[in-house]
Amino acid sequence: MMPTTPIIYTRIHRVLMALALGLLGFYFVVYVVYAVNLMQFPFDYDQGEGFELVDTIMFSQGEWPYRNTEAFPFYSSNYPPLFHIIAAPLVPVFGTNYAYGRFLGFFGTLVTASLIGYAVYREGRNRWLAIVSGLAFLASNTVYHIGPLFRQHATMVLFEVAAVVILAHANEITDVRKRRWRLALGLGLIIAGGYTKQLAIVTALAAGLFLFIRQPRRAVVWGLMAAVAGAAIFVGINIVTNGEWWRQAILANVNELKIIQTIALFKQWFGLHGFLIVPAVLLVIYELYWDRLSLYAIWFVVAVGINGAASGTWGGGDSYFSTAIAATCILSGIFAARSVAGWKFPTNYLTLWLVVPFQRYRASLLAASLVVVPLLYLGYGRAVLHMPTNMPVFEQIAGIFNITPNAMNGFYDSARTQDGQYATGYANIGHLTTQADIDAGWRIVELVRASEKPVISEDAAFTLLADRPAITNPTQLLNLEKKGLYDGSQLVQMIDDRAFGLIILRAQFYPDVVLQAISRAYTQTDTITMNGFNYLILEPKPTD
Amino acid sequence: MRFFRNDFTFTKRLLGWLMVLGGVGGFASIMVLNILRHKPIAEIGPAQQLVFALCVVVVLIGATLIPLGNSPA
Repeated sequence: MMPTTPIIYTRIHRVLMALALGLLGFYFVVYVVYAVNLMQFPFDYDQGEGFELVDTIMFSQGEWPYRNTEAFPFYSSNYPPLFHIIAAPLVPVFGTNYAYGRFLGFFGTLVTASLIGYAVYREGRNRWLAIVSGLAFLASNTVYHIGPLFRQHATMVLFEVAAVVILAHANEITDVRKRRWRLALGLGLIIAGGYTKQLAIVTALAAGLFLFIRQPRRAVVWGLMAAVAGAAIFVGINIVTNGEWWRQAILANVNELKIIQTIALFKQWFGLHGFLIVPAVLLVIYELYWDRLSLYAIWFVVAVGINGAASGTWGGGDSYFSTAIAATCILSGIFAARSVAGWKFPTNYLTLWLVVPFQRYRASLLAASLVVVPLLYLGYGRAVLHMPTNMPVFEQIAGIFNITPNAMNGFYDSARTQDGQYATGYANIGHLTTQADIDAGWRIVELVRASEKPVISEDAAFTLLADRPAITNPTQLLNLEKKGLYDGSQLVQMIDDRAFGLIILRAQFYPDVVLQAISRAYTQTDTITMNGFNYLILEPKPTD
Repeated sequence: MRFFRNDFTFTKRLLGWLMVLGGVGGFASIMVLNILRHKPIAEIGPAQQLVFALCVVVVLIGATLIPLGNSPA
């Protein structure tokens, strides 16, 4: 029989839960403000966003973005196609615009948060903790700043979470037909995740491991079917793109690991999410020794281990922890729900050592849990603090709590030190854009429009909005060069011949041979600052 | 084969043994790789040290699972 707890603890629990809900609800408001701001911003906000729009436009025109980068316009994508295919039907309606891609990403995170809440409710039957868990996902600094971007990452996480929620109890379904549908849908969603972004491989591994532990025969049969379906799509794309899919999206995408970046991002991930990571890990330990291992637990371990390590690769970063953050929110929510309802420990040697000695404190521990659980979410809310400090209402809140900005455009982000430093690989975004940024962007577009020759721009927006073709995908050329798969002689020749009217650089993520050619044939004539970044405007040097 | 029967599931004991073997195997694989590359022990980098630590944790968890016997994993 469960011990009863004094009513005072229940009341404290409710007050603290209301505060936690209020705090995480506040971050939801910040998230909506940020998303709406980005949807109104017509240019690249995050490095490389514009090339996602290029891919989407190409798909809307029935073209594949996996192309030979040695020939004009020297463009290829390195991302799988599904996100862009989903967005492609919106191109004829909204045209060259970032708003719908950013909305898709944002909307996807809302669905993901709802699925997290549903998973927690299904396991713990605690409505408030389910809501708090979903909001905790959106409150993460990482999820916040990548959610409303025109990028595939958030949509991949959506497919992963949906797959895991669907597969988590598939084995217990006794109706064969229903179980098969559930398995087919879950594995189909994992394939969809993989064709949205390659990182979803961790969810495929976790699901395979989970099914294998529960019933090897079923895992092998369904694993083979999923592998055949996934491979058929893979081979099909490779054939229709003349092998460029393999070269651009697979070979060029295996990047070197910088262990220092991995360690820095692990520390940051724990620093921001530690209040939820500890309960998540405790639930994994509980399942390991006193219950069956759930798909959530296996997914958490695999996602933390593999994606966490991969966050240190060139092109990686804190976004690689998004899947692990989703798993953390589910596990910590279930842990919290069980803590306030009371734990059950089947008898084994560990129960005798670790649980029985504390049995007499059970009522006190349960009462303490009622206080500690909402405090965990309040602590988490404090750890992930992020907000604009120079807008109405937010300005007053920042003043009351003495929050001073440490990022661009008056933004405060707890992932940074007070002087604005942040871990290597952490995305320098999250701030709101201003009218001055928009004006600066249009100035660059006007320069592109005034050019009589083609223009190379490191951000695709400026050429796209000037109705010019996007020429080169710098980071992809760099990926290819790092793998020894890039020659670049035709592009270098065109640069040496001053075939481009302008070259617009931001981070200079081009292969060395291209940068050397640019410095030989072009000279910087202007610098325009937009969104905190200096865009270098280069014009051809006079020929000798 | 019992392993592929419809009612077969992993037990804590089996999972424990597999983790012990996996951890020891992982540890040994890195050592063998280093020997093949003629790398002295002193040159084991931070990534390999991390993997070694992980292998030790896996072995310890596996070893503590074995006494849990036939409970389903």
